[in-house]
Amino acid sequence: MVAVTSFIAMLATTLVDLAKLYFDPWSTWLWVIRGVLLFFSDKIKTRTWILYSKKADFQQHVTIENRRAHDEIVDLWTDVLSERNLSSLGDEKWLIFEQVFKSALHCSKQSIARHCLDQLEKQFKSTSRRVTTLNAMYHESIDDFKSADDIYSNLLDENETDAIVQKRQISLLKEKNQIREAISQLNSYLELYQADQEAWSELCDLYLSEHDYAKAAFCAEELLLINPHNHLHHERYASIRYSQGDDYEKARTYYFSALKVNPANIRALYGIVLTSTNLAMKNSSRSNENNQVYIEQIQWAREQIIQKYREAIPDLLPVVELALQSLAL
Amino acid sequence: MSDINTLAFTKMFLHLAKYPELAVNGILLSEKTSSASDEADSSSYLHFIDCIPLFHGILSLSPMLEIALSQIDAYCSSKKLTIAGYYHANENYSDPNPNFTTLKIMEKIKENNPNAVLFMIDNSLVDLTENDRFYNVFTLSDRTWKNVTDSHIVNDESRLSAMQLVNRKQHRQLIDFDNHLDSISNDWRNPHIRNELNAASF
Repeated sequence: MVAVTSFIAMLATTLVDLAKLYFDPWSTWLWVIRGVLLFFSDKIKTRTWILYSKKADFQQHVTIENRRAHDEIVDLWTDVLSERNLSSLGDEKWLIFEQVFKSALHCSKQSIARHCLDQLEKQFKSTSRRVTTLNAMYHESIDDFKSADDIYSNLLDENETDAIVQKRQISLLKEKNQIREAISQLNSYLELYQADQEAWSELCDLYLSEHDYAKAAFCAEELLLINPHNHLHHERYASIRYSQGDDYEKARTYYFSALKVNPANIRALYGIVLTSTNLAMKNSSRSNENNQVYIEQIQWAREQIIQKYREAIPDLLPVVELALQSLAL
Repeated sequence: MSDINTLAFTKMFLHLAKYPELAVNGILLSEKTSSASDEADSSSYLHFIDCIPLFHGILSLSPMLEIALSQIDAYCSSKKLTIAGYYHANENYSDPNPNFTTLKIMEKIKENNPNAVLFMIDNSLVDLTENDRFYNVFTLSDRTWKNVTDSHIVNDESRLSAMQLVNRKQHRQLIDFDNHLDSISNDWRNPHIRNELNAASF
């Protein structure tokens, strides 16, 4: 409605301009009419702009900042967007409906999710696989796992290469607490989609929840191979090796490589202190040379940590210093 | 026998509210009594007065847990507090049972305080408009869990304060140890939450 009125006002302005050109450029009446039309169309533009700026807020939450602030998105919806007519946003509103739907599911606001889903289904009918997947997600949220699974199976019958639906079926298993099955299915999936970082990360987490550190380490290694420039991959791999308990040397190596990629990674610094301390304790009866290196590096890492705390949060420094002392040999 | 004050109860609840889709855990601190013995004493009274949220997501990796416990220990020694409780919430909504990670961490905590108890979060009770508490309390002996929730007291003010702070979106301001390690200027002692509570009670 807003868009149509605005368009008509613009059109009218153009016609008045043409009339002025054709008839009499100095006609007072035409100037007055033109002034009124411009005023009108400006007013309409302002309302549309408010809507656009809220949409920008919204997109910022979702895409640019990449935070999972689902409750903020639902709040934005309830306070602002649901009160307005979204037609002036054009095709972007379907993306907004989809995002609000997912966030509402996260916050257990099924009524909001249902409303968004209805809008999407009205527009895209039942032929859209994307909307059908969302429908299945809605069933999952109301604990209707059987329907959700049936929908996913049907979608896969039509197109067995659909990665998103395959992953949703796996997360369905996780919801039902069938972790072993989820692990097995995820392994089959990864045989085909070997570069899917999200899937490797999820498999790593599943193995960790089963305390299978060896297999979790394998997944972390795959992540390292796919993207060796991500310091978090190095640090996660190191932490898994440390938790496993029998290869502190490898853990230490990867804490150092994490630090090399990102010198601000405080977990890596702490990791160096822990691993070097453990290695020095293990080797205390053997050669002094290796121990000397470990001890120097523990000292270096501690100084780095203390320096960072002194700069960022000096209030906490006494606690941290005491804690580091308690970890000492 | 144990009870919990508003600050500890609220911080625990805010941690759950901040990460509703993830497993979370944390430490509960109680006043250090002068008669701290090395053996488990079933008649000891635990008065929980503070809470330090630890991690969210993956709870089974040990290096940062060691760092966190060493810092919390150091913090406790200057405040006459002691680590006396551990809370744990599973990722899966319908799983209120302690798992292997819970066991390992409780055993580690009990090395320093044999009277420590587990606050096992029951995700289905997290609606505080319907329930007065969202967890059950357990003791651990010989790898067996014993439910001692009946001897744990929660006052009504805690429940109301927790709900109020979540309504004021304070859960987004809560800092757990993971947040601290991501950026060390985030203070895991959460002094701002204490201030919010003091402001809220008037």
